[in-house]
Amino acid sequence: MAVVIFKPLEKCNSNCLYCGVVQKKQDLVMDYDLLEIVFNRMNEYLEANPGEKITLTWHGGEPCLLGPEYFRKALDFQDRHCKETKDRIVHIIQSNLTIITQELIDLFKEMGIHTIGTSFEPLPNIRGPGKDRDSDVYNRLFFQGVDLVEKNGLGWGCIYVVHRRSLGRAREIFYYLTNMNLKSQPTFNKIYLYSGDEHNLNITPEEYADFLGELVPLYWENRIRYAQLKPISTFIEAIERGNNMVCDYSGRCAHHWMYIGPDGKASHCGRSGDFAFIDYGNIRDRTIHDILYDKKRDPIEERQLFLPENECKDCRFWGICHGGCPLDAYTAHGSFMKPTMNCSGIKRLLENYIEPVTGMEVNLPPPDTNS
Amino acid sequence: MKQKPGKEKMIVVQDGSGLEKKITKKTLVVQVDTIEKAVPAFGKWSSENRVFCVVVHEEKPLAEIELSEELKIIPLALFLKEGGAPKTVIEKSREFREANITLYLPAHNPENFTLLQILASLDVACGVYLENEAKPVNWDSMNDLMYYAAYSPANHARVEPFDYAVSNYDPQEYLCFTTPWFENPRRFFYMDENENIALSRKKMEEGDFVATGISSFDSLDDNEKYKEHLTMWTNQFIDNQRCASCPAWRVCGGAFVSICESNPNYFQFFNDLLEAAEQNRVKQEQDTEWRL
Amino acid sequence: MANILLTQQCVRSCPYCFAKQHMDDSEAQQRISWEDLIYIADLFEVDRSNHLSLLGGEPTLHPDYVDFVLYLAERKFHVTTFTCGIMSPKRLEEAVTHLKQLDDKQYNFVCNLNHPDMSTDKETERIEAFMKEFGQQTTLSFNIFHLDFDMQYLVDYITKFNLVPHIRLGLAHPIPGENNKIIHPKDFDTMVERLESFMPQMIENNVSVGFDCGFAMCNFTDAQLGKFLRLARSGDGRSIKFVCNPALDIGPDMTVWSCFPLSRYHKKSIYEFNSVQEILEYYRDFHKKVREEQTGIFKECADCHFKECGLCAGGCLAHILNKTEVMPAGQGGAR
Repeated sequence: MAVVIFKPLEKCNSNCLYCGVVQKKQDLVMDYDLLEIVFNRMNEYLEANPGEKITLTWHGGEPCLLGPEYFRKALDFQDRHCKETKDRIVHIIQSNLTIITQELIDLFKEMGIHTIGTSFEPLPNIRGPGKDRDSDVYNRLFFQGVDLVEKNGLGWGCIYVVHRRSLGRAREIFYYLTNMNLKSQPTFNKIYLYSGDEHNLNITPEEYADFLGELVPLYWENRIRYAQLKPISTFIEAIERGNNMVCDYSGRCAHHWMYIGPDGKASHCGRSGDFAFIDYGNIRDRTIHDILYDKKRDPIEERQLFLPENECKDCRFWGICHGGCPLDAYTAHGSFMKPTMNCSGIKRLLENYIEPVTGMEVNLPPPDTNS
Repeated sequence: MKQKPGKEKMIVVQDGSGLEKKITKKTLVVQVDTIEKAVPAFGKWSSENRVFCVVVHEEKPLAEIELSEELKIIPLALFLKEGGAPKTVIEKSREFREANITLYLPAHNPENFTLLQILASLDVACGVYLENEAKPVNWDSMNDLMYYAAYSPANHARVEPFDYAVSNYDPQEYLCFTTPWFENPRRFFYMDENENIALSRKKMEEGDFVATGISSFDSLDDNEKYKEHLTMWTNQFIDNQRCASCPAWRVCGGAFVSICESNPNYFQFFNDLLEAAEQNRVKQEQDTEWRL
Repeated sequence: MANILLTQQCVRSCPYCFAKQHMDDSEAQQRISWEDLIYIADLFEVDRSNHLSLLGGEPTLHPDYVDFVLYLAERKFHVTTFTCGIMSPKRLEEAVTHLKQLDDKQYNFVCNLNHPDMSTDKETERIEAFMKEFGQQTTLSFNIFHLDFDMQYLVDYITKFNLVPHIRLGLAHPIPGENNKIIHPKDFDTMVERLESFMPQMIENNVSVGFDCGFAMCNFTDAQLGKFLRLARSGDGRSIKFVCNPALDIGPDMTVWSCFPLSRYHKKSIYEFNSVQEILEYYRDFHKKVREEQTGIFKECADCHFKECGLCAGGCLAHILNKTEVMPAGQGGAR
């Protein structure tokens, strides 16, 4: 399945402290001509690949700023250009829920969206509109949005970005987020800052591991209450059942992920597109297939053979991590042929927390290529 | 109450309010202030409505409560101020077992916890209630009674609100543990003689109404004040109050914040209640016995 | 059946008392709480037991004694109270007012009656007041702790107060390491002969006897056994037994042990067990382990046919643990 991180705009109504996208102050919104091309490209790809699906992840900025008319247009383009393939287009949306309306929800439902991804910050003045990031206003609007979403029978899941001010408050934040939404547990992602750390929010991989580590016993002892707690539960499932991880740790993102920006520029994924780390041309000129199989992706695939012979040789965590995110390697070292800069953090989380608490032991080194 | 629990909305009315001729085709909880009034009230209000339960707020002690044969067949919730001696409870248990009754005793008297355990073990449905937030409660004793209700392997009757909490717990839903006390803004709507609607007994006493008029009951879901009340819980999160980060929030809901702040055992009680509810859920899910 | 100690206090100081050590080891003021009684009742209800015994010290000293009986009866337990019969007038009045409302079959008393010479006038007065009210629910219990015992007074009491015409005979058991008054096993046959001498009065007054634990079968001749069998309460002789089993005594502090003489051995918290069966298995295992070392109180027990087929337990375990000298046959030991 191809996953398209689709950012028709980078504008947002909030001014979150750690958001590099907002800091770009990019006002461009994808015009309808380009939007139509996107749907044509999707149809083209799906017709050529029967049995394939495309997940179109609406992202931003704040997608709700596009307004209902934009989504109606999108649906219209889908109906017109993807008549036989629209059943294989899966729409997902990530929104801060602060400006969601009934009209938008009706359209999302028409697009087949059942759950809205969002993110939240319990600590004050980190997320919010304006220079001072009025979290009080933001939070009220957020909960109004949640109420509307739930009244319409939609689900919502929350991402939490772990940053320096979160450190030492893992349990408090965890309980807050799990109390706030009983139907879906939060995902704890590490902060990524590519355009400076003016507010001293960045954390080391070890600090991230320690933050998650504090939550490992909470999750493990209460799995009835907290069905999932990503990434902790994902790691544990991977150890237990050999499930492959997604995204960063899957080792399989070479030809499955792409990004489309407001101007049609294509890149590898959300982060790489936001900061133009990798350029795969423009959707105007290139097919989705060409973008997914761009030669620049080859090293990402080769990485899975290179690392086990080199820096990840004999690493018992290989089967979980697969060298981590290739983009992490690229941004830190200028090359994909390195493990993620978060390697020490992953090991720390697994060795110091997950293994002792669960009693499991990870022993998934790279397969011996000589045997 | 021996009726199957559900989610239907009920109007809580005071007998003698004159509303019995005005309200029709509703499910009611009828309040009376003496047990002698329960049977006539049940009859009167049942003619045009379904009476879920008659709630008696009785001043008399348990020893003076006599259950007639007519009383034994109507669904009763009897809130008493005092329980009396164990002997009284044991002797009364015989007639109470024959009745469709749940007997409530106040939590501020530590002896009542023993009496409730005696009652439940003698197969009399019972419960503890918080009469007044200001009256201190021994939360350790509350916890002990909860443990008994949740974990005792021997057959015993319900002990509320524990039984409700444990049986109705859903990890994906908020639990309103005050429901057995007829306090749940999604289910119980207090109506006075002027057809004012309040969301709890206390709010009724304070004159804090959300709507007026019997006809407004059916459209309460669209009532702005009501909707605002239902979302008030979010203030705990918006203001980042202590309750928002409490692991026991999903069973407590911040119901008695003032008690929690002054008594650490309050938190422990709700934490243990949550665990008991979860264990019960696991047990239910593991029950693979087939049955018709 | 289990024995629940309601209190550690007693109103007497019997010289043979084999509960003495336990009471000395415990806090005098300790009394069982309602919550603990309910817990025990729950445990036994789940086990489908329908009989509980109340002990002490003196159980009727507990301020909630009457309530406890009413409660357990309401839960369909048959309640046996082991008492010395000495109750305060207030307690007796309370018992009369409330217990007499119960069905006779729901409760009974086992009254441990010492010889009148061992009681003061006031004690005797109280005992008699109790018997006057509850005679028909009362069985006498007699503990043999010296050889020149008298049983006539027991028959007299039965007749006078219309008590249950049955005597529960007990042997005072040793408390290992202590010096309470007991009958030494070497004197068991003498004891049996003396017991036999009271049989005519028993027969004449239609009083049956039953043996509590600790008697050894080999101390009885066939003829003696036959006589006692005739005196047994039930026709099949079930009350004539030569057993030594865990009795399960539960203290007011919720500890449990096999029986009073062994209260210092393997005393556990009741909460360590999930069921009555678990408790029984634990103490049966303990008994078994001791008897694997030494089968019985006599040397002959090791090869005894009756021991092997379970007709006789081989005497009281407390004697074994007390390191009672094992007597060979023909010297006052096994016949």
